[in-house]
Amino acid sequence: MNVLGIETSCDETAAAVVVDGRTIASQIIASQIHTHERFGGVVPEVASRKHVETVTWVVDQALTEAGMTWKELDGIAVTCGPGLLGALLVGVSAAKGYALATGLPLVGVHHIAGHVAAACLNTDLQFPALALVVSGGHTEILVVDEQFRFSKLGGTKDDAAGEAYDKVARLVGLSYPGGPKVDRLAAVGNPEAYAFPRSLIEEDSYDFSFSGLKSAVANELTKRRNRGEEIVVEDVCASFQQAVVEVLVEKTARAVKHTGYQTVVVAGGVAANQGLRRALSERANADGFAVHFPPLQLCTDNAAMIAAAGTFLLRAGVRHNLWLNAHATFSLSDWQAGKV
Amino acid sequence: MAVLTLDTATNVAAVAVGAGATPLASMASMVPRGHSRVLQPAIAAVLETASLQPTQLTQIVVGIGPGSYTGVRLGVATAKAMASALTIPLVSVSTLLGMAESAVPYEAGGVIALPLLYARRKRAYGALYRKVGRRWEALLPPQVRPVSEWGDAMQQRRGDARMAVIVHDFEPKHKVLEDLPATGETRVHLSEVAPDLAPALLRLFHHQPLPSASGTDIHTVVPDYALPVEAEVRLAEKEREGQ
Ligand SMILES: [Zn+2]
Repeated sequence: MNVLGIETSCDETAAAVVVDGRTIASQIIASQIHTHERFGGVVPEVASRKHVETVTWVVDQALTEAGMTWKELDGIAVTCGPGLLGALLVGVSAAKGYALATGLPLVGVHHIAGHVAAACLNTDLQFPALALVVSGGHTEILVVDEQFRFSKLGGTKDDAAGEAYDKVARLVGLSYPGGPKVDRLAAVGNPEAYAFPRSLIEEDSYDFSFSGLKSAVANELTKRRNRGEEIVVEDVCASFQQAVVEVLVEKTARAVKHTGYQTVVVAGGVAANQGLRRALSERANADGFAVHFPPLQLCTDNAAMIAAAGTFLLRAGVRHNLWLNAHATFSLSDWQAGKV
Repeated sequence: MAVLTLDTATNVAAVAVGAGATPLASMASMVPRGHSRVLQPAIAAVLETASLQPTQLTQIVVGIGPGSYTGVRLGVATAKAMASALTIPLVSVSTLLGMAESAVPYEAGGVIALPLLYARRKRAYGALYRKVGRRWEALLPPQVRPVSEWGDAMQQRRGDARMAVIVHDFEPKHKVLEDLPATGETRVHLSEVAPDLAPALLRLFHHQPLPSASGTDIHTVVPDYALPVEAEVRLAEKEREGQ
């Protein structure tokens, strides 16, 4: 089964062709990161304009690189939320245009389902499994069943983990996008240098909260600056990262213990985080469960993951018609209930 | 020949399909923020009404604005995808010209038309056109000006035109209609001519030279935003101050 994936939920215009939900036949990503860098963050209107410029080009490239024509495809999958509305709408409109012109089945994919599906690319991973989704917009622990259906165990009550990374990066003067820079500096810093809080770690739930941690970092920096003390950025990054990772690992390990699922899939941009990879792998070894991290280039937003998710959905009989819409905020349960 | 026309750059989502200058089927919807859902089902519906398969289309004509309204991007993205998958040419037309044609649908012996789309802060996207026979010529190309200036601009270039028409999308809450000096022209609201917007694009396709993109050039078709993104304006201001 050959499925075309289209992803335009934020600042990357991406298209890919995936075979049987496992093998990437082609994958094109036009990143706008340099366009947004000078603004210090993603400007939604600029992102939408770029998507319109690029979307059909990336799709053409994906088909060419896969050596396929429309006739050889079996379906079109597109991210329909959550994300920047104006950005999502460009991808959804193009996908509906393609579906209308070619008569191919269309399926709207929840962005998080896409990130989870990324773990299946180039592997023989089978569901059911637990999924830890960590990105700039999400921090969630999910159960994924055999039918690629999701149920949520817990999620963040305020900031997403990736968001906290970006905010802390800004506090210590790292330029956008700062998350990966914090991870790199943390690797050479002392994680015990500052005592930052482990939010909700004691609580008997799978929920997260990172806004308090971000405030704690801000307060600590202000306090030290006022006292004229030197701030070691590497140590701040390492101590902050330790606080985030400890909570993520602890809650994930607890979910494994309580649900009995022995496989954990880590998904989302923060799945590329080296500190998280190391700590969660160690814990998995100690506790005896399996943990799958997608390769680094599949952790960030891409269309191969959307095509893979689309394949699982099309196989499960899910189809969407031309009334498909884009949704800026979108729960997994609304999506699964067909409220697209 | 089977030509699909569409425009979603305003409050109106308009779709038509025709073999000649007269549509076989057309549709217009004015559901606020409804364009993203309705556009492709509307295209499918007009094709079905006209008993046409998408693969029978020979050209697609799309209204490209001006405007920064999200709708313009839906239409352009959909049209680009369809044209490139069907490997047929994509023709671009100004939504303002489409508005002018829908307000003056007949053969004219010298009529000028001023289509205006509200652009916030008492400004409007507009253009000034003159119609002789079936053809339009642009007296003022699409641009953004304060609404109060558009009336004068029309008066200055009116010449010997027997009739002048303003077609606009202003709402009472914009409080700009009174900024247009009354000079004996006919005023038409976009909602009155909405059903003719997509058929108007079909007529323009047959009577007016319009830019057409084929093959990989289809990728380069973009909306006419007419205004830079606000964040870009602010950034430029900041950079100027910093110097
Ligand atoms: Zn993502």
